[in-house]
Amino acid sequence: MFRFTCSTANAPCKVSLSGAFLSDAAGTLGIYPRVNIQRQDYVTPGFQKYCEYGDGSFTVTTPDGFAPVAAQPGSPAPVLTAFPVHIGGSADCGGPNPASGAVPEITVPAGYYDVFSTFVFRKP
Amino acid sequence: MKSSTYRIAIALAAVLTVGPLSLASAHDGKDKDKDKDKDNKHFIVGPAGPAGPMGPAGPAGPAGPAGPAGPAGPMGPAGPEGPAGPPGPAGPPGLDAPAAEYGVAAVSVQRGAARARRPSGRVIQLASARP
Repeated sequence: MFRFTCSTANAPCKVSLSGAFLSDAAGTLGIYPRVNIQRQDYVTPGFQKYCEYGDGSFTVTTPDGFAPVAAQPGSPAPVLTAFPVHIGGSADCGGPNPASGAVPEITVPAGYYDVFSTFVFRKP
Repeated sequence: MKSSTYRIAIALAAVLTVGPLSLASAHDGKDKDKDKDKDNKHFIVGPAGPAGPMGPAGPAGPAGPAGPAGPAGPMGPAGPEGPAGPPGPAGPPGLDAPAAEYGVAAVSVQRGAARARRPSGRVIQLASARP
């Protein structure tokens, strides 16, 4: 979980997911994401409420929601591969981008945000 | 015993005394019967002597037959323990060492169109071992 601020000057902001597979052998790793975002208004901070939830990296080629990530040698700064996350039928954070479904990023307006995330790793 | 021996001696003395008289009477051939009567009147035969002493004991009888055979002896002791079995077969080969594998995931936030997106949160988890 982490907290970030999206100021009026920087808005809109974009939340995206990525991953890497570090291994001394070839292969791929499947990653299933879950993310939950709560928002506090930037101008009039008050109570915090639900903003957006997304899970699974569902696409035509990954119907099980696991995003495939190729192996790479171990490194403290690995190259991350971005993958989409499915947010359902609507964008609920009030961002200017109304895109829904499997989106490469979640667009949010100015505000204070708490992001909760979990990931499942699966080897084929 | 003294008494019996004494009586025997008397009897023998009487016989020896009578003997010569009877012979003299037969030689002269006179009044033979008269002499007989005369003898019967004066000599009485003594009683029979006592039985002789008991003979010595007979020899010992032969040895008895041999006794029956004795019972069978007890069972012998158990044999010594057998030798140890052969060593077992070698075990199967061990599993391959698991590879060092890590899964990394990140949540990134891009603030504003002009600023680069950078990871704001990262999750690292050890992936499952290679089968």
